[in-house]
Amino acid sequence: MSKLQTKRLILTLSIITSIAIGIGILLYTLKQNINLFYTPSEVLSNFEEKNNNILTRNIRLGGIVIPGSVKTSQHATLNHEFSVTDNKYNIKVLYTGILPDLFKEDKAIVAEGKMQDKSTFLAHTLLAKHDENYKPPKLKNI
Amino acid sequence: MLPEIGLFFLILSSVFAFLQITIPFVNKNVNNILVNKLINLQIIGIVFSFCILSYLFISSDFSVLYVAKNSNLNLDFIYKVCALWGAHEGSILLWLLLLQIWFFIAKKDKDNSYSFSVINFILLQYIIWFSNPFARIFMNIPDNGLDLNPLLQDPGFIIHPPLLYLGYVGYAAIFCIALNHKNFVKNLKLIQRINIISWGFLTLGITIGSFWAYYELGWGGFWYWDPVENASFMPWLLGTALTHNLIINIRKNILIKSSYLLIIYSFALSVFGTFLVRSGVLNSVHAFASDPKRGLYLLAVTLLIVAIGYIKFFKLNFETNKDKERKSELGIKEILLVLNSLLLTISASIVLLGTLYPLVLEVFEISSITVGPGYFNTVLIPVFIPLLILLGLSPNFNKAIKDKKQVYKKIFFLLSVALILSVFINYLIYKIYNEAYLSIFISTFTFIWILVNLFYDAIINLINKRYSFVLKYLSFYIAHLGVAITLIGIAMSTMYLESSDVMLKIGDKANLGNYEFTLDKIKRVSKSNYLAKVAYIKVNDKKYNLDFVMHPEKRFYTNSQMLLTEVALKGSFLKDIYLALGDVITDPKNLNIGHITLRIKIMPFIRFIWLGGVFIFIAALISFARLRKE
Repeated sequence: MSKLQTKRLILTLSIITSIAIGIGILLYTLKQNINLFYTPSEVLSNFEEKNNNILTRNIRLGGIVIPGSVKTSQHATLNHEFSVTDNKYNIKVLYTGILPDLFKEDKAIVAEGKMQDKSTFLAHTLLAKHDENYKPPKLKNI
Repeated sequence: MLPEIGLFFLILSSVFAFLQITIPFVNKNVNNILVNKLINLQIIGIVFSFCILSYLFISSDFSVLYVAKNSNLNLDFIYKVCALWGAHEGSILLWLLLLQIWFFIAKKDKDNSYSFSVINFILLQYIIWFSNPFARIFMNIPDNGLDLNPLLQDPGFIIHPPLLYLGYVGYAAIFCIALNHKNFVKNLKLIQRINIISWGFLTLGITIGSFWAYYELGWGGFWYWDPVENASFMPWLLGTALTHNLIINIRKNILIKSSYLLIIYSFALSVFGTFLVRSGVLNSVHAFASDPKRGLYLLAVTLLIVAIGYIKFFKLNFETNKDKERKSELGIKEILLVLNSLLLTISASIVLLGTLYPLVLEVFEISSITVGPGYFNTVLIPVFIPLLILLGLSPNFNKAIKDKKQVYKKIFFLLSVALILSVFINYLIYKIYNEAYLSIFISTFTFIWILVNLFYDAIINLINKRYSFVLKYLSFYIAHLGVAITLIGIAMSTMYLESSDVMLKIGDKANLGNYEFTLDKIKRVSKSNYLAKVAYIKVNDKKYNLDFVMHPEKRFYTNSQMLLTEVALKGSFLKDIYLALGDVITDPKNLNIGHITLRIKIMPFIRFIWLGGVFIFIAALISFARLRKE
């Protein structure tokens, strides 16, 4: 190989490597920041399959707020407790903070946080939607 | 009868567009006067049908489904008019109407008009078949409409969508002009002018949208990395790349094909944005009513645009003027500009990947996911940092370089001055807040670096009495300072944010930062379309012993049965105090017994985020004026 060819080879190889590294980092970060969306019965089936990932990962839980399940602590009104369902399985959600405007009984809600155990979810965020009739795609047919 | 006439005008318009598209196939020697008439009739048809729809909204004709869904008798006049773009059908018609402005301007050159007609035809088919705003209710016509979504009953809604669409249609117009002309290069100057003004409007549209989300969505954030926001951010990034790329194109007659590709993708992405907003496949905080069928059509249109763009790519004539010598060698300035375009395109691809990834998984039913803001923040920062360095370096290469060594000396000198100054200023910031962060250092340093360059340039030029530099580089400095100002706002307001959720009974106090908040009383207010509970919160600034009252509200819109938080803002140049009400629980008989939950946020420098956007808009206007003069 001539000098020029070697130079070109090195250049091409370094460009390819840096692009590969870049894409690698990109996909890794992407994977780290994915919030999987679960319905209550999907959470249950994960527990039945002994898939313990679900306890450690940040997930989004979507369901319908069961009417009458919303409880607010008497002492500090910022602590909320309610149950969500997809008509197959119910999960209790604990949340500390201000409820979004579109939080209503019998309406869909999406909560972000972690599962504590098989039937309790600790939410750090409740997602508000602009449209009160909005439902996450997976809950469309409930 | 009137709604049918409106639809009829749209159909007529689409027929004229179709005629104009097909005539050249039948008769090669088309009469110019005939073509011009066909164009005028198209534009007039669209304008008339838009006027009719406006009239239907003003006169509250609830026999029209779209009006009944989005308007109400109790709305203020201005919101009755603007309810037109409150949902999908009207927005697309507005989009089409705004496109006609550019069509009207560009039709002087008859070569441009053909692809405009094609775009008109495609969009008109979409409106007529999939999103007809004139559809009627035949049975049980309601006495009153459903109401405009309360979130939209806000001044932000009056201007935000039209501004954003002005930006988008600009890219449609550029695409049409780029496609049509046999010689792409001839039209570069026209493209540059349309680009700069559309880019300005897009910037202002995004800025206002972000400000609106900040005070209206009730969560106090300015950007969520939500698919809908990304949809406007991607064309903006590519538009920014195009703005810079065109400078090299025109000066040096090189890298012209890359501009052409940027044009295709910025238009495709702005149509794709509409697809994202409307498809309903994505979880989005801004997902208003949506319909997958429309999404599919819009996706098909996006793909069609890219396909047409590429087919033309191989046919177009990119050859430059023969008399103007082609300077093929790249100077440092060009290399920096190319790097800038490249980094911006990479950023746009990163955003696209994060936005599309959930969509692809959803469509193939693998799993349902969302990509968190962590992805965008972590991946974009390494790309943005070299962009910031370019931002600071750029002023040094404004003039043609004669002596390289001297330029390097100057860069080194200014860099040192900027570093010393920003260390000093960051020390002062540290003294005030007792915390120091790298992001704040980087953003303030970028700002100071550009500013130091500006002062250096100003002094040198004023000494030499070269006053023309002011006009020449004014927009350059304003835009680049604008970017740095936005970054300072983002860094300061996120890092020095103070936030707390509290519960207050009447008379209770809460403390945050230098402020003391006391719940004074709760009042009920009743307006024509909503009932509200207003909390009177006394705020005491302990540092200066100042007292003022803030009134956050919880509104219940009676027509749409929707609850809405109306935040209270005490904004100043340097700091915002933000109060959002959670629950308001009162004794039905006695308003003096009750409590509220309240979110308090103190965000320093948050206004800088939008101030920077306004700076960029002003720069775009100045630049547009200067280009017109030339």
